[in-house]
Amino acid sequence: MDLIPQLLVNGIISGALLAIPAIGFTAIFAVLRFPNFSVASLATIGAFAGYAANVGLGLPAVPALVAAFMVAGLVGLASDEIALRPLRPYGALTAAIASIALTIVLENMVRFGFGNDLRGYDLPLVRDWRIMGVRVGPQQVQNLALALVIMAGVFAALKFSRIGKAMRAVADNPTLAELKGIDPVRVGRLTVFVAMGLVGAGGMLLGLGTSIDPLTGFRFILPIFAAAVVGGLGSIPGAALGAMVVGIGEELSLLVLSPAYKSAVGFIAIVLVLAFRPRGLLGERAY
Amino acid sequence: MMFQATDVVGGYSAADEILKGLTITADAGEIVAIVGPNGAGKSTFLKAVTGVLPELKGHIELYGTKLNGRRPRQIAQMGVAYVPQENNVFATMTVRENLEMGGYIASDPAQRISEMFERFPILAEKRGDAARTLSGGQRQILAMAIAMMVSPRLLLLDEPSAGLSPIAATQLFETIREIAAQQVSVLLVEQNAMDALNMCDRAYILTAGQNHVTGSGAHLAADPDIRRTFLGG
Repeated sequence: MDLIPQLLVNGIISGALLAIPAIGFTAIFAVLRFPNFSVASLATIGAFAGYAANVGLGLPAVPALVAAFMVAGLVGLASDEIALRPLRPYGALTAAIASIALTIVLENMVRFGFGNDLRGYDLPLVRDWRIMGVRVGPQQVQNLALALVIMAGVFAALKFSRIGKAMRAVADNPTLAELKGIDPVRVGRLTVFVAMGLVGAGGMLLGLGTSIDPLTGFRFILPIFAAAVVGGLGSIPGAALGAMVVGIGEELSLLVLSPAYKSAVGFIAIVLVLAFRPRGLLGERAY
Repeated sequence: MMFQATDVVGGYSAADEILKGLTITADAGEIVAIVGPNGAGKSTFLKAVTGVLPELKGHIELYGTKLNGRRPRQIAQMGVAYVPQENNVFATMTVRENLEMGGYIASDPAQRISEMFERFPILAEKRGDAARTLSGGQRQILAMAIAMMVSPRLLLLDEPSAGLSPIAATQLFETIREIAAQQVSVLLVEQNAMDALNMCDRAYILTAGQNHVTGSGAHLAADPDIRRTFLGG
C-alpha cells in the first residue's frame, strides 16, 4: 500500500506525457476520419530531432522540444501529402493500412540515419526530490509542466483562435463547414502539421526520461491508441483523459503484475471500453 | 432574373440521374417554393445549386455569374447560403461559435453576430450553450442565422419546418418572410406543400426530376387538380 502514492504520481506524469501524442492522434482522426498509425514513427522522428538539437547542437530541453515539434510536423505533413492524402478518398481502412506501411518506411529511415543503438539526451544530473515519501525527479516535474503547457496551448488555440474553431467545425460537420467557406484541405493540412508536431514533441518528452532508439514510437503506439479509444476517438479532451486513465492504470498494474505485462493495460482498456462504452468516456466531441 | 437555373440534369452518380432538365428562376426578394412528391428531386436541386452534387449538367447562374463547376466554398463566397434539412448546425459547438463559423467568410462577423442576436433573442439567450442542446425549433433558427451571417443574396432552405411544432413552424415562416423582405431570394423546399404555397410568391411543382407546373403560390394552392394530385385533396 505504501507504493500507491508513488505509483499514482508516476502514473499522472506518464499519463500527461502520453496525452500529447494521443491528442495528436485523435485530432487527425477527428478531422480526417482515419486512424493514422504513422504517429509511431513520427514520435520517433520527434524524439531523434530533439536528440539532434539537444546533443548535436547543444540546445537545452525546451528549444530541443520546439525542434522536435517542427521536424515531426513538417515530416508528418510531407509524408501525409505524398503517401496518405491521395489514398484517403478510397476509405478510412485504406488510409489506415497505408499509414502502417508509412510508419515502417519512416522508422527504417531513422534507423538508416542513426543506427539501432540506444541514445540518451544530454541533461544535467540532478538528485530526485522526496516529498511525503514520494520520490520525483526534477526532470519529471519539468516534463510534466511542459506537457501541461502544451495541452493548455492546444486547448486555448482550439477554443479561442479562428483557425482552431475552424478545425473543430470540420471535425464536427465537414460538409457544413465547407458550405460555410472553410477550406477543408487547408484545415486538414494544418491539423496534420500540428498533430504530428504534438506527436513528435510527445515522443521526445516520453524519451527524455529514459533513452531513445528507432522503436521508441512503436513502443508507445498501443498506449497512444488506447488513450484515444478510451477517451473517445476524435475527442481531444477525451484523449487527455484517456491518457491519464492508461498512464495511471499502467502504473497501478505494477501492484499485481510484473512490469513486463504493463502494456497489457492498454489492451484491457480498449477491450473494456469497446465492450461497455464503445463511444469512449467523452464520446466523439472534438473539443 | 437574379437566379436562373436552366436545363439542369444531374444526380449522385452518372448512373443515378435524379434531375432531368429542371428550369427554375427567382428574382430578388422573391420566395420561390419547390414542391412535389418524394423523389421528385427537390432537395437534390438545392444541392446542385450549392455545388455538392458530383454530377451536374446544365446552367446555373446568379446575377449572370455561372455557379456550376465551382466548389461549395466558392459558391458560398458568391452569396449563396444553404440550410440543409439535417446536420445543419455544428452540434458540438456553442451557439456563438456556430455563428462565427457561419460568418467565416464574412467581412465583419462580430457585427453580424450582434445583428443575429438582436433579430433572434433566443440565440442571444443561449449563446454559450452547445447547439446539440437546443430544441428542434431553436436549432432551425440557429441554422437560419448561420446562413444569414454572410448576408446572402440567395437563401436555399431544405424543409426548414420538418419536425417543428405548428407554432414554431409559423414563427419560422414569418422569419423567412422578413429575410426575403431584405431583397434576399429564397428557394424553399417543403414537405408541407400547402404551407409552402401559401407563403411563397411563386412555386414550382416537380415530378420525377422535371418541371410539372409553375405559377403563383396562391393560384396553385387554389387549383383543384393540383390540390387533388399533390396536396392530398
